[in-house]
Amino acid sequence: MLRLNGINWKVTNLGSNTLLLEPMILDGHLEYIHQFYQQIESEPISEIVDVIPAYKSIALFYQSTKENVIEILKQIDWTSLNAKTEQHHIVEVDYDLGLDWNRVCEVSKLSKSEIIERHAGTKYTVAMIGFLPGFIFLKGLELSISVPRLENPRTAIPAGSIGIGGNQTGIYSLESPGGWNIIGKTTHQFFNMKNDPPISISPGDSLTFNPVNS
Amino acid sequence: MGSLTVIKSGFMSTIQDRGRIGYRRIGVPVSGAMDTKSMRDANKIVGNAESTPVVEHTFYGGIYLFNTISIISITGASCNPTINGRLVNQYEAIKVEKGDELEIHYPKRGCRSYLAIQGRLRIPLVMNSCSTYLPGKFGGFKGRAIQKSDVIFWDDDLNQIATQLFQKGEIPYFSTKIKVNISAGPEFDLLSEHAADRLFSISFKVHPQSNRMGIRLTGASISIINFDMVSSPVIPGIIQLPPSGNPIILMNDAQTIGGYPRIGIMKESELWRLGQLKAGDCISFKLA
Repeated sequence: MLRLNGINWKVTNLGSNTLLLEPMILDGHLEYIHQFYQQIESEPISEIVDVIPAYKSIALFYQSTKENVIEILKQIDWTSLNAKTEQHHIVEVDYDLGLDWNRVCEVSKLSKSEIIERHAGTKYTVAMIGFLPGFIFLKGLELSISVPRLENPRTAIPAGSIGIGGNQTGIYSLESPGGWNIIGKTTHQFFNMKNDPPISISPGDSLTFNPVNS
Repeated sequence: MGSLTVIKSGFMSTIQDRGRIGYRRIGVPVSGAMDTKSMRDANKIVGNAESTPVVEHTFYGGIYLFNTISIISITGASCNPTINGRLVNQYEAIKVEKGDELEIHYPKRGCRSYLAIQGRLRIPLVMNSCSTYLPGKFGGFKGRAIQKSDVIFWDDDLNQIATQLFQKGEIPYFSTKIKVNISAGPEFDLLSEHAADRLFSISFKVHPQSNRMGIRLTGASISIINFDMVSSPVIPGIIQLPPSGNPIILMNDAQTIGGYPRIGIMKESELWRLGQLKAGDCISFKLA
């Protein structure tokens, strides 16, 4: 058990040089994980070479001893976190480029325009980025428009596709296989291999969709 | 500057190095050589730094025409390499002449062979690595496997470290039956005592659908209590148990986040051995 940022974290080993940290709280995990992530991003620790923030835990990859990394973590000053501001992104979506409208309307028993209204009327939080390069998981989807994933995932979903998968919505910023219901497409490029870092959005940021016709 | 021309494509030949570090936070897998030991050995033999990019051949490797005099080595799977039709040794530095044709054959043992060339391949860095990540179509040679007519260039005028000689005893033997040490993963406790016993007593078979993302195991299904798991971080070496009950060992190109129980974790230092497993080979687990 480790006390960081005012709460207790469970610490376990995930392989030889990886720690898994889980906030030991009943809810609000994501907020603490995002604060942890923002802290590491804004004041990098050279011993920590990579991180994976997820819904209820964050993995830390280190080049040092476990004891040393834990000592370093204990010394983080969390008070400077208040000074940081999350970015807000407005993403233009052409909902006419959706591929699964029939299914989404059928499951939700709502019309396309009602679904668009609800999907674009919500402010989302970027929960995490992964499982594949640049896939943006958004938290906050209205329950009335949640639709189970496709039984047979597509082998290729074009870059920029916006999907609904269960009670989440997300953006495929690179072409990839996937099983989410595609309801629209954006021309906004979040992922550009030529930039470092190649993605211009971060866990903890907020995002809204703006319907457009292309 | 040296160069070669691919005159026959392999089954899947890609450029790999130690992989991408620092980009998992945005969902980019590590990638890199599946058998890191053979990559390092190949480089040491020709006097390169250990993680210099190499060519990784899965199964049949193809035919290369060398356009310049070069120093090369071939390690990993026993693939009976030939130059102009004559067998050459693996695990030793070989001087090839301009016009020589090197063929990497289908392996007798193991799954992946590695070709190192003295010098440094001219492959652009993508997120600090030359490794090919095929699903994302980036890294390595134009984000794809190398194929017929490709020309690969390298700088051969670098300061080389002395080439290293390998003794017979240092050459790994790739068995078709291996036993690996694992430690309990975060969701290990979801296994009943009976299921845990099975995990450590069964000899699993490698499924033909195994690839650089993961090694799928069959042979016996391990039951697990129904559990709605929240997507959590995963790394190469994690043993996931999907509802089918057939474990999957995640490998270099695995996703960064997964939703299946993580029942075990392999030691990173042993992971390279899995890079040589092919369909039908057997693997069993021992609790470290």
